[in-house]
Order: sequence, then C-alpha cells, then structure tokens
Amino acid sequence: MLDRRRALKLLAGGAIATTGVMFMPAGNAIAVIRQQGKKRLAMVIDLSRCNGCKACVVSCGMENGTKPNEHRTQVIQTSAEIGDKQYAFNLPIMCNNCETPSCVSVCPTGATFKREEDGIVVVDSTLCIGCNYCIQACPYGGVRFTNSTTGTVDKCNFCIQRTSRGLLPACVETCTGGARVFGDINDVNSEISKLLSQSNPMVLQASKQTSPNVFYIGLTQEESNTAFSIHSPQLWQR
Amino acid sequence: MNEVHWGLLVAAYLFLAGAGAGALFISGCLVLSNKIQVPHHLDTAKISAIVGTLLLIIGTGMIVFDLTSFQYGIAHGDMSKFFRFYRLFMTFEPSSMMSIGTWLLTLAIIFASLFCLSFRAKANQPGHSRPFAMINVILAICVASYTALLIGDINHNLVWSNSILVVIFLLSALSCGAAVVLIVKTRIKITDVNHSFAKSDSALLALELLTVCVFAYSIRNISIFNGVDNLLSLSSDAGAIWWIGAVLIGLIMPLLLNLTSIIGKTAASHSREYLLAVLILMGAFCLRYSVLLAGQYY
Ligand code: SF4
Ligand code: SF4
Ligand code: SF4
Repeated sequence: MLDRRRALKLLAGGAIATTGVMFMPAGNAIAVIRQQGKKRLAMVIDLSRCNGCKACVVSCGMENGTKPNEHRTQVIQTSAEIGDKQYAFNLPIMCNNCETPSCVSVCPTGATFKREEDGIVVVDSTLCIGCNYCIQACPYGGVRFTNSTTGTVDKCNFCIQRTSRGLLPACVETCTGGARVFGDINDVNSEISKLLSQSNPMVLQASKQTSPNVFYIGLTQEESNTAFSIHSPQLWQR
Repeated sequence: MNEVHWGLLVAAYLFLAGAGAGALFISGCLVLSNKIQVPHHLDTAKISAIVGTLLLIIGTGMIVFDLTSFQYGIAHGDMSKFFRFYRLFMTFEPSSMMSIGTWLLTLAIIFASLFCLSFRAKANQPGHSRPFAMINVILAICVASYTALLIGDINHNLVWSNSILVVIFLLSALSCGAAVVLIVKTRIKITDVNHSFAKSDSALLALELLTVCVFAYSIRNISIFNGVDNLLSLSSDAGAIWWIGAVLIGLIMPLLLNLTSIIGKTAASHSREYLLAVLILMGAFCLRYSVLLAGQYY
C-alpha cells in the first residue's frame, strides 16, 4: 500500500513538473489552466440558484449513510453587507477536495490521500485511527467530522461510489434549483468547464493556499474571505 | 460553533510527555556532570529517570485513549478498532509530525528504559550510564520540542503556528522536570540548604513568564489583525485557564514562593517544596490545555 502510494506521489510530481502550474489565483477568483490527459473532478455551486431547501443535505445523508446530525455537506444561512445594505443568502459548504490539501500531509497512517486518477481526496476508513489531526489541519471548519458509525473520520468524497461509475453525486442529482454542477474541469467540453469559463468563479478562503475544487458563482470577494464553517449559525431560523 | 476535537486527553499527552522529557533531561544532566558521585544525587538521578520514563509511557497512553477508533472499540467491543492504533507503527510518513512523534516517542521510551536499567546493572559503576544519559538528553529536547511542533505544524492556525510556543514548551518541560525532581527529592528527604534549586528554578520561571507574556501579546495582536475576539481574553474558557491556571498558579505563585525562601534565607520545608512542585505541574497542564482550546476557535 505504502509503495503504491509513494509511486503515485512520484508520478504526480513528475506530471506536474512537465505540464506546469494548473491554477492562477487572482484574489479569490480563479483562472483555470487545464492539465491535459488527466481528470480533475470539481463542483461549481451557483448561489443565485440555491434556494436553501437542503435537499442536497438530506440526499447526501441517505446516499452515504451518515447519522442525521453528521453532515458531509450543509447549507448555511448567512448574511453579508454591500455598502449600507444587508442581505441574506444560502451557502452550501462541503469538503473542497482541494488540489493541495492540507489534510493529506499530516495524516500519520496514510489513511487520507488524494486519488491520482481524479484528484478526489478520500479517507480510507480501514486505515484511519481517528487521531483528528486532519480535522485540525483543514482550514474549512467542520467539513471533516467523526462518523459515529465507523468511529473514524469522514468527509465529502464527491460520492466516489457513484462518480467512479459515471453517475452524478447524490447532492447534484437532487439539487432542486440546479445550483450544483459537477464534472471534469480538465475536459474543455464538459458543462462545468463551460460554466467556469462564462462566469467569475470564486473559492472560499483562497488565502489558505489549498486550491479548492469547489467553486462558487455569485460569491463576493468579502464573502469568499470569510471563515464560514459547516457549524456556522443558521441566521434566520433562530 | 466551536468544536473541540483535542481536549483534556491531548493536553495530558503534551503535558506528560513534556514533564517526562524534562525529568529525563535533568537526570541525564546529573549523570553527565558527574554529580552522581554524591550518593543522594545518584538516587535523585535514578528515581527521576524512572519517573520520567513512566510519565512518557503514560503520556503516550493518553494519545491512544484519545483516538476515536480506540473509543469506538471500547464502546462497541470491537477489537479491530480497539487495536487500530497499531497502524501508527506500520508506516513512517515523514510529512506528518504525528508520525514523526510516534517513532520519536517510541525511541525515547526505549532509551529511557535502557537508561533506567543502566543504573540497576551498574549500581557500583554509575559512569556506565553516561552514553545513555547523553542519548536521553538529546531525545528529551526532541520530545519537548515535538509537543509544540505537533500543533505548530498546523500552519494556518492563529494560535498554534506561533513559533515562540516551541520555546515556551521547552522551558515549561524543563520546569516540569525540575518539579518532578523536586518531588523526588522531598520523597528521599534531601534539603536544598544553599537555595541553588530555588535560584535556578526562579530564573527559569521568570524566563517562562516573560515568553508567556510575549506570546499572549502576540495572540492579542494577531486576533485584532484577523478581526476575531482576543483568543486569550480572560472572558473566554481558554483565556481564563491561561491567565489563572498557567500564569497565576503555574508561574507567579511558584515564583513568589521561591523568592520568599531566597530573601528569607531559610531552607524551604519539604511541604512547601511539594506545594511549589504541584503548582508548577498544575500550571504546565493548564498552559497546554488553554493553548489547545484557544487554537480551536473556528
Ligand atoms: S477542504 Fe479541508 S478536508 Fe477537504 S481536501 Fe481541502 S483541506 Fe482537505
Ligand atoms: S483522523 Fe484518520 S484520516 Fe485523519 S489524520 Fe488521523 S488517521 Fe489520518
Ligand atoms: S458529493 Fe456526495 S458526499 Fe459530497 S456533499 Fe454531495 S452527496 Fe455528499
């Protein structure tokens, strides 16, 4: 297992060295530079289409068998200000399956790793000891959590059980507003690539240098700099 | 909003590993400086080494108890989860400070045990403990620094990534070691007649107080800069434990106790020395616990 992992890391290093940088961050807005011949699965969330119904939260729980109070994704209801105007919005949050994830290098058992074939960051629950080091290392509060059914760490893995067979993630399939779009951003003809090139996508907290693979349309610079957490209070349900 | 994933057990781990390393460091220094030619110093070095080793072992046990797989194993009688921690020893991940620490602590426990045995095997030739003493002094410094580097490696964390924590944890480990040695001395009834311990301990505590204040000041500034409430403000749990537990009980009170016996030129009674040591140890635990809590702000 270790040898295979090392070999994959070396291969990945070589691939990056020959094809160059993949992302050029400009503030929190992201200019995508594609890496040919390799899949890079990502999600775009269009905030103007999210109505806060939380169908994604429910379908994710049903698909992945998490307990009702344990979420791989959550839609937080929050507010922001532009000038003297305050407005409310829904913000779906999940693991960003980052390009340079800070959770991977800290794992002492190699349970958390980034899949070479599609870039998804996964947790092997048969290797995870539950030390919670990765939870501390992730700058995105609450996206990793302890799954009480396994006693190990869990997170969004872009529904690998579905996406490895060409299906869409459960949350994308169920989204009532069509806000979540999923696909390979290295494929120029994919829906997600077209959407990214037509809009001004932002990521959450680009300053944390993890290069997220979850992009947002309709997020302001100020909002993207805010440290939202899956446990952020639900503003208008108090 | 705040989720505390690392709490009392991890604080106990950092504290016990630091105190054990401190005791082994002082024991090793006693051997290397040849002070063990004096019988009561030999006893002090020997017992401190044994206590230090036990603290390292208990501390390592604390991190195993904290693993969610271990807790799940106990709660559900699942042996495969109970023993899952063996995975730590199946690999070495050089990028993971926890993996480095696992092997470092394993080495430290092995060499600390050999150090203890060297006293027993060569009771009539204490000089034979020297090579083990040397290795233990080096490993003790590594273990004490590692307890800070483990959390310092989380480089986006406003509290834990502060480099001065390494110095604070090193000084604190040394003063914990001194407190353990003091307890050992009170048990074997050695009196510090010329105040040498009180003087060196006071210097150490004063230096620690200074670094701790610098740290609190930098956390205040970092908090303001990042638009969050002061992460060590007295009104927060972390801040209350920091200022009352770590600073007042763990540093100011022991410092005053030391100074009164130096100024009064009286040898501190054993009960007073005992109190001093307990205060230092309580403070050192609070220091690590408050730093852990303050760092889990998001
Ligand atoms: S969001 Fe956090 S947990 Fe997910 S890949 Fe990035 S660093 Fe890792
Ligand atoms: S909790 Fe599991 S996945 Fe996370 S760092 Fe520890 S062993 Fe790795
Ligand atoms: S991709 Fe799958 S695991 Fe991730 S949030 Fe959506 S449904 Fe949940």
